[in-house]
Amino acid sequence: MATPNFLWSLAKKYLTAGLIGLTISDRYASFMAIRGSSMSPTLNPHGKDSTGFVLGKFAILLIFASFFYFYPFLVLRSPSNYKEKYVKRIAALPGDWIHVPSSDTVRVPEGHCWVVGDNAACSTDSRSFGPIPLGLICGRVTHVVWPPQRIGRVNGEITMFPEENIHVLGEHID
Amino acid sequence: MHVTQVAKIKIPKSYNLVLLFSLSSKKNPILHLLVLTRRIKGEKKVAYPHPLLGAINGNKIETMRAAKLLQYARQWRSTAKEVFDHSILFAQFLSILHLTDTYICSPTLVYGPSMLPTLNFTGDVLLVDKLSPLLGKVGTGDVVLVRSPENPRKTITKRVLGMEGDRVTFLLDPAHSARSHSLVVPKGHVWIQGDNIYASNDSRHVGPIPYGLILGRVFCRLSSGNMYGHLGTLDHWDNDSDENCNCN
Repeated sequence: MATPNFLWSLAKKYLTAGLIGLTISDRYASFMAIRGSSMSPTLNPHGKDSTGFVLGKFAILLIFASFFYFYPFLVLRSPSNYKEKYVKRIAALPGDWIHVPSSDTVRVPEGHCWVVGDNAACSTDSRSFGPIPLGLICGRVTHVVWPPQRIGRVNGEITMFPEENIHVLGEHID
Repeated sequence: MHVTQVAKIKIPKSYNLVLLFSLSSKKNPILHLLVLTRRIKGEKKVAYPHPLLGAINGNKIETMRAAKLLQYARQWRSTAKEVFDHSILFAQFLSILHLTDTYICSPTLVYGPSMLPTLNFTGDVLLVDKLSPLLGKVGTGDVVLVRSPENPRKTITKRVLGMEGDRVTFLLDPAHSARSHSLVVPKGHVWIQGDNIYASNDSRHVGPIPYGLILGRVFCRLSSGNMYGHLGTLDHWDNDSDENCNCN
């Protein structure tokens, strides 16, 4: 009987697979479910429970800030609760000026960015907590994978800003 | 398949007839290849073409070619298996390295004047515990490694002087005046400050920072000049932190 040996080799195989899988999901890409309707027209349109996504991690991409214009959907840690993650659209980069109707024109400080949800009515975003540090960003959304009829790349073009009265006034006025 | 022909060949008892391949080539449209395995107790079955194969096809060259092909396939298979095993081992090694670095602890070199009595100006190698920020166990008085809110490519080392909900009092400009200011740290944020209040760019300038920016808790100094071992001064300095700020 070689049962203990067999079990041991099976356990080793699973451990290896787990280690490698965890590393890949940590460094390169992983799946994530999205709840809530803060990005409603673009992602999760019917407000149903969950939508799966693959995220590209970008430790390197932070270097190319202009990259954000092509992949504007970000996954970021919530500034008020480090365990929560938000998916938002990036609206302004460091140095941009942003006009917020509730207050004055705000300049996004160095190392921060301005994020907004597509559904302005029910979205917690920079309009409530201000610009967030770039260090809180932990990935970008590239593909929709779960509802099978919506599989495909996320449409990343900036055709409209979520609200007409928020617009970037000028780029990199230093 | 020419099973009848096979039946004409005398097969020794220790061989098992297993497969009858059909290989096709341009010259000889169909070549039947008989593969036998030898039954040896305790060993894996090894497939190899029987020398009598020539008798089946009546074409010795084709048979030899087929045999060679089979041999190559066998060799290639073992090589591929070896390569696969080695690459898995390598990937496993890299993953363990990455996971240790991300979730358990990692060495970091820090330098600069902002933590001066505790850490050297010229550089210290510190061991950073990555697990406690994930579990939410960072508390007041810990020295933490923080991703700089002003430049996400930089990390800074500061001391936590207030958790969410704490009231923090700090000097606005310690070098010139004794004017102080106090505020309550908002939800999900921490107040960080350098030990050297005269030369430190910290929460007094950028405000409270989100907890999510904390990368790790410093728990051990690996080297500082000729000093090795546990951070004695770190613990000693905890008692004096009230000089810098009052936390209720």
